[in-house]
Amino acid sequence: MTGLRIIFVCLVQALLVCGYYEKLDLRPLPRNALLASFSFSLSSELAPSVRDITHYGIFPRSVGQIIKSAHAHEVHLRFAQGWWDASEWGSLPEQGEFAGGTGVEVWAWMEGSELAEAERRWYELVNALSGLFCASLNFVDSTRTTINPLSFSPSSPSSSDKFLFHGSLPRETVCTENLTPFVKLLPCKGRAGISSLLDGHKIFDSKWQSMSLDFIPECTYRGCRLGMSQKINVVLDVLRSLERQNHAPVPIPRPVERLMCDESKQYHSSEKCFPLPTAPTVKYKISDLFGKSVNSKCALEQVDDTELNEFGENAGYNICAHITGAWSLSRQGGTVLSSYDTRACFSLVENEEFNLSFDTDNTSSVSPISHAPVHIQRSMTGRGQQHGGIQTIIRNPSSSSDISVIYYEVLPWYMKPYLSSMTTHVSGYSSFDPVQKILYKPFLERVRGTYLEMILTIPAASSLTISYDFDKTLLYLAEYPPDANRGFDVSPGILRVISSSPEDAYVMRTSSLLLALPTPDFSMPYNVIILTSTVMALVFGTVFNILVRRFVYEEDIEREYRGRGGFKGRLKELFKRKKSANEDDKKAKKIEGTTT
Amino acid sequence: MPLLQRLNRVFNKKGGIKSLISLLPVISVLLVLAGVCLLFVLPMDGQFRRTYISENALLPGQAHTYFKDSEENILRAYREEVKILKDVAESERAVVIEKWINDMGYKAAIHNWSFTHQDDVKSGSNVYGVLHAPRGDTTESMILCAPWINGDNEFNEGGVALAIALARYFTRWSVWSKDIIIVIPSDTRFGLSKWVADYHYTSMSASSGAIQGGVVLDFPGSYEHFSRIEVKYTGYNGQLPNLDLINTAVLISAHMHLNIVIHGVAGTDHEYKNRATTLLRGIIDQSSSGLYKQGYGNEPFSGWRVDAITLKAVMDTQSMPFTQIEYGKLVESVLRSINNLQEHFHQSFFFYLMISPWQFVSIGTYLPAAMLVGASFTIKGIYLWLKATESASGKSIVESAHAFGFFVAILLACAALFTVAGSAPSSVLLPIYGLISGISVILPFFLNKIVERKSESYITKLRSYSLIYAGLVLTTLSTLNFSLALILGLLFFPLAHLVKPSKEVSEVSIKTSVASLVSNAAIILTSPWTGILLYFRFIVCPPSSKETVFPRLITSISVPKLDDFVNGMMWNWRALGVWSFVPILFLVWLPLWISAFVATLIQESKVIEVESVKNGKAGEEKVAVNSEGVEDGKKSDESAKD
Repeated sequence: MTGLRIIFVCLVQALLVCGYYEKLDLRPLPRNALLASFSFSLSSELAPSVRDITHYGIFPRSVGQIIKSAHAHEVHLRFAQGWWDASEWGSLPEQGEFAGGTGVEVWAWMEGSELAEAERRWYELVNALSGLFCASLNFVDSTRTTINPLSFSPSSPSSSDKFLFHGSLPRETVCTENLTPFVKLLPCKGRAGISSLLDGHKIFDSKWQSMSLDFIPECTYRGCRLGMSQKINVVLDVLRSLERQNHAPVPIPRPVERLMCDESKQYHSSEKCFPLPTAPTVKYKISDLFGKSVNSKCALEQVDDTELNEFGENAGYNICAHITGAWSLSRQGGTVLSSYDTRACFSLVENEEFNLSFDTDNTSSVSPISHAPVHIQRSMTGRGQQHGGIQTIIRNPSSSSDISVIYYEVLPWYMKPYLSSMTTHVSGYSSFDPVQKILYKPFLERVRGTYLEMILTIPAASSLTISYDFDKTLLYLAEYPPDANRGFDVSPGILRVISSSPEDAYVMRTSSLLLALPTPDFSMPYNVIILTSTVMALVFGTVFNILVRRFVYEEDIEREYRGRGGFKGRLKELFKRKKSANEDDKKAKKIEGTTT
Repeated sequence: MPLLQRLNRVFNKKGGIKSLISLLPVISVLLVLAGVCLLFVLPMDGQFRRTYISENALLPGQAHTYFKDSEENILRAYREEVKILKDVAESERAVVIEKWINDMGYKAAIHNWSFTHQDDVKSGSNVYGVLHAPRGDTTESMILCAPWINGDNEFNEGGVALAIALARYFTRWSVWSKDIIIVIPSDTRFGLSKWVADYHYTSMSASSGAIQGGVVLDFPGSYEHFSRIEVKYTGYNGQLPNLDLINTAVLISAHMHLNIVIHGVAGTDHEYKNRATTLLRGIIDQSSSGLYKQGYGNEPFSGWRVDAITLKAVMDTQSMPFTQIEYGKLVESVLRSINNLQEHFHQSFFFYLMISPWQFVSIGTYLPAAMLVGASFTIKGIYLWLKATESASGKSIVESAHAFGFFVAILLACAALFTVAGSAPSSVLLPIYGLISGISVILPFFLNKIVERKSESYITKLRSYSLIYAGLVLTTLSTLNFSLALILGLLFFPLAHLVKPSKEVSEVSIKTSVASLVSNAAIILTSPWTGILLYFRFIVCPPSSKETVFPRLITSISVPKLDDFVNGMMWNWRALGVWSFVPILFLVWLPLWISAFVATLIQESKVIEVESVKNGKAGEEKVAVNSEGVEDGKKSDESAKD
């Protein structure tokens, strides 16, 4: 836990740089992928305390006021989509600290003298943020909220009267409508600076993307201010982007002469072509990938040019490319701050367009990839609509050291797990108990979901399998969302490595799961109404009939009936009755034994 | 209402119930006939419906396909490569394929599988790869599958090559909302089943989310052209994929002017004959799906809530107007449609009978056929029960309970035989089957000794229980697997109606001897073992023209093939979970047959029979007296009232 503290202290120090600055790191990845990390930081004007801030400066006032009125201490938001391919791309950027799980995730430390008050403020906060970011954050209700999970620690020192709330919406599709308000918070609003590259069409045509917003108060002896850090990490598929740039966005077959064939195959001919793996040569510009070049420097950027970073370079760079010797870069506009084999950094110049082109003969040569200290895979098991199971495999790839992790999982209430069925197994060990601690809060139907947090130890070079069973529930008709047959999304689990040094810290999320619940045929209520109405009508008719009927012996009727001469007599009587009404009325009634 | 009440009163007075009861056997036979007739009414005009796309999201045929031109050059090269791989060991070719699809950007892996039963081991290597959808979050996926060996035991050269060429081509699209999983299993039977099961029960090295649908490619041989597409859709245990998926494939084929057929019926759907043939073949396919051999590839997905179809390219050397590229486009278009799905397949029908690619009968229309057949057993059972309880001895609860216990004992004995058959090693399975069939033939003679001294009503009750049991099983089964229920109902028909305990056994007449002959013939013919042998002789290994003469028909049965057949049946039950035959054989057919057999044997102890008949008559008289007495009492009651 001390490790976490250290990271946060570092983070706070980084944020304490006053003013606004923006950075873009471009890092080619194997298989023609490119990781683009946008980072924007700014903070408000100084005030005696965060509550007293009235001059926001370049800090977005809309957010500032929400945080102030909701009495939030620290607010974190994550929007993410896609799948991070850890086997190709290594560990997540910045140790996963700013990467979210699929969908939208929000957590905040709320001030309040008691839990109920803090909770009320939390719902106020998420509702306000929902409007601001065009996300369905207002659906973060008690069933999706977890209070005080262990996995998160505040980035700024906080006193004890703060409560941590965490909520996530795995089904929320992140789209341009979330990006637009995101860009709007920036001082240059996407018109200048690196934020001018943030075009929804390109950002969301990526293999993986994650947007993060962190609002953290920074207090020193001089006073307090509110800091904001915005980040977007995108993994682009370079070849697909180029193809889109050059042709229509459809995979039109290449002309035969442009096919790249393995001509050593003996059957090779003008009709047969065994395809070679993708060409190792690639050449592209920033403007090819993002649709435009960087407009100009954002004039509001106030960077302290004299500060040096850990490489001994000027820290005030805007754009950095992380490459190897196999790559050559050429720039258009801007100034070069540093240029090495492994990285080249540039800064932007006002009123001058900036473009950077990448060229290589060997796309597989990329700057060394750091491998994630832990791998996790979670999947649904079983079949049928009544029971199911969840299996989580956490693997420690290190050959020498054990690792300790916190694994945090929230299940919706309609997924009813049996903690008694939970089994853990560590590969290669027969009787090793990896579970150090379990925090568990069972679900309450329609009130809150299951909260499960575990501190686990995984020995070196082994994998831990956790599995448990759960029951599925039939919901009320109105509780099914639109497109109910798609299934219900289960929030990603969060895995945090506990370490003493900030470099070893890591946090990652599993992918979300699709839970298939028994879903009724929604035309059925209509059938049920018809059926029940019919049954009720029949029952009513029968009961009413019995209630108003007079019962007589069958023989009595027959005697009278026979006395009248049977059927002929009845006919005669009928004629008689026509002639003189009322005469035999009473008798006839008795015989019939019926009522009107 | 008064009119109905009056009718009811008259009906009761005239002894309507009694005559109705005596009519029950006739009604029972009529119900079976009605069920069979209804089946032939279904393909008549006005009884069926035209198919339609119920799920609007599918948009079949709306996507433009680009699998053409130079893609065919690549496809041809893959065909050459696959041809080379034909003679390579399975594990080695899996490695080659793994490398190819890994280079394309798929997360490829090899799935080694094995099934073990006693000393018998089945094993192999599947290879598969996952293409993560460009913007997807790995929650949903769809299957593109091409087994090495197809359902007809041919090398699926075109299918595998097409799957790989398509997989490569799919990486260039960015429209995928679901991950694509390409699976090249060793076969359509164990390999694919094990892969599907492992996908759902264990974490595999390359994994994705819930599978929403799948297409199995079946393009055997080295032809580059084909005559028509046949859609195979029946899953194990008669489970069917969503009708929307079949409709999608059919509609897209029509857009592409491909000739598409089902159940191998190529003729026009304007003719009654063709529709009826499709319907009957569909019923036979559904009831015998997964009986003893491999399927076409779509079967293993049933039961996992995965809708899958096999697109089988049929090569008819006389005319092959369509090219492999058109086949590829069809697959592309079907996958694009599945990709469009917002939700899991759920609209449309899961219970249907196809009578042509464009026409179907839904469950509400066809179910009465199987229900009527099933109900006939229940009605006959009720009739026998009423008949048994007419006699004095039949009124005894002890006897009823005893007979019930006897029936349960027969069931348990069959279950024991089932366990023996299930755990027998494969090498000795055929002798064990012979032994079991021997036991099941001798068993009734022993059982006969136990019930010899019992009255006729006892035997009637035993038959009644067994028929009610059959009725119960068949009506339940008809909602799960209509075809199987219908066929079993027809198979059991002689056991219910031709096996007759004749009333006057003592007098020997032509009528009674014919009846007993028919009864004995029915017992022999409806024996499960005769059934298996006949099925093997005429369907599994049809006799050649030389072998159709009677003695050769039996002597020419090839024992190794019979061994394969029996082992195949047991393996499919054990490994693939096909419950639609072996468990039904041991737990429904066998007890039913044994109890009918016991019933025919008992007739021969004449003395008891005659006695019991007398007892029965005496009992009836007594009852009549009693009822009169009741009436008298009632009358006196009334007079007192007056």
